[in-house]
Amino acid sequence: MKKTVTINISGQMFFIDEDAYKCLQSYLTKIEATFRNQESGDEIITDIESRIAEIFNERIKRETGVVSINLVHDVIATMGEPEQFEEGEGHEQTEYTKPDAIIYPKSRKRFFRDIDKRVLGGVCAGIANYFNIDVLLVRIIALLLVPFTSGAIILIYAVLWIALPPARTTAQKLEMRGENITINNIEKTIRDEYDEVKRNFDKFKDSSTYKKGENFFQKFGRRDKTTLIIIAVIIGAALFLQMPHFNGLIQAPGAMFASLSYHVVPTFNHIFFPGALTFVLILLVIGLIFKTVFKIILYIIAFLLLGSLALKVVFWLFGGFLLMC
Amino acid sequence: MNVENAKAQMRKGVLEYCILLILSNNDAYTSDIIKQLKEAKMIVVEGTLYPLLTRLKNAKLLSYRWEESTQGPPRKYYALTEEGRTFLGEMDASWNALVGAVELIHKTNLTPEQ
Repeated sequence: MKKTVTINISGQMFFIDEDAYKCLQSYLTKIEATFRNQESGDEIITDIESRIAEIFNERIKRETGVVSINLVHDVIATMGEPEQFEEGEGHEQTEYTKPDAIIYPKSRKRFFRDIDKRVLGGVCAGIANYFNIDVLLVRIIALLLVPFTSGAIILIYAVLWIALPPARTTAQKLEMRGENITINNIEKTIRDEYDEVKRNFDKFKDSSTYKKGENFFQKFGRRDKTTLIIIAVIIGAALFLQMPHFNGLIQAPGAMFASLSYHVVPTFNHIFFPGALTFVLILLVIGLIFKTVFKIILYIIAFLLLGSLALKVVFWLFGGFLLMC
Repeated sequence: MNVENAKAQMRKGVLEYCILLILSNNDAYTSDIIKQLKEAKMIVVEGTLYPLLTRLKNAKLLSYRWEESTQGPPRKYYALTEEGRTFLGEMDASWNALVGAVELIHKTNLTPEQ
């Protein structure tokens, strides 16, 4: 049994098998990517589409009236892949850039939040992508760092969440993984995503979370999300200020070293000026008032937090407890 | 340098000329042009033709009109413009000169050995 979808090519309606549809779609995406930037590209695309519709009409199975995968393969063979078109690309070779070499000749990896694999903001997934390691490892390390840094990592996470751009477009996603932005890669990614989304959606549709989730997401726009994060950060910070030394997991191994038990991990408020958190809060408020310097301020905050974290590690290693006592 | 590539280069040079030739007698629908070119083995894949037709049209050598068809949607009929006709005349002359030149070289170089 096969599922059939309805498509409209140059004003004509066809029933097409699902596998044939996927095949045709990726072919047309490639065609579009090839001609979109050329002079009168739209016209060429329209012409090709109407020719495809014409072949469909001529060769569609009389009994069923459905476009099958074999027919699509035949059509692609007749029309040819975009790379083969080049043969006819006559005199003006210079104005035609081969699609493989568009814009980014060298692929550079960039830091993005991977919002497809996110749990919270996709920061961990982004880090995992950047260093090409397993996301689970990054998450475990991040969770372990919470007690080790007395929660400073949470703030760093929030800062990264705000500062890092999410990988939304296919090009960004490829850049995130450090792959070349070529038509083949884009095609592959789109196909993967289509399959993945379809699978997930089929699974998700039946679950009761579906309806709840719909309402939930409607309530929060993008702007609200940012606001919520900032509020969460401020509340979190306030909680930290109230909290006594949080030694958490450290206390257990610390106890083994007898007297080392108590001051092993001092909260950074004690060792970094009057308190790094106060600075962070003040900076955040300034940043929110003067939006233009917001990014710079985020970097300063990140620097502050990292600095205090580093100091803490130093103190922890070289008997900070002596100073604290 | 492979043979297929060299052949393709040769075909490429005269493809535009062939399109103009096909249209010189009567106007034609895209599929007719494709059919003739395929029968003559001038093109391998159909996709080659579309960018070319559009380019010739942009260069004002061709024009097209929409014509109702008995089956399916309206079709694009291409026709030579006046400019196209002049262009074709020049191409004709240069093609004949080229054929003559190749013939001549053929004769002077091949016959003595045979």
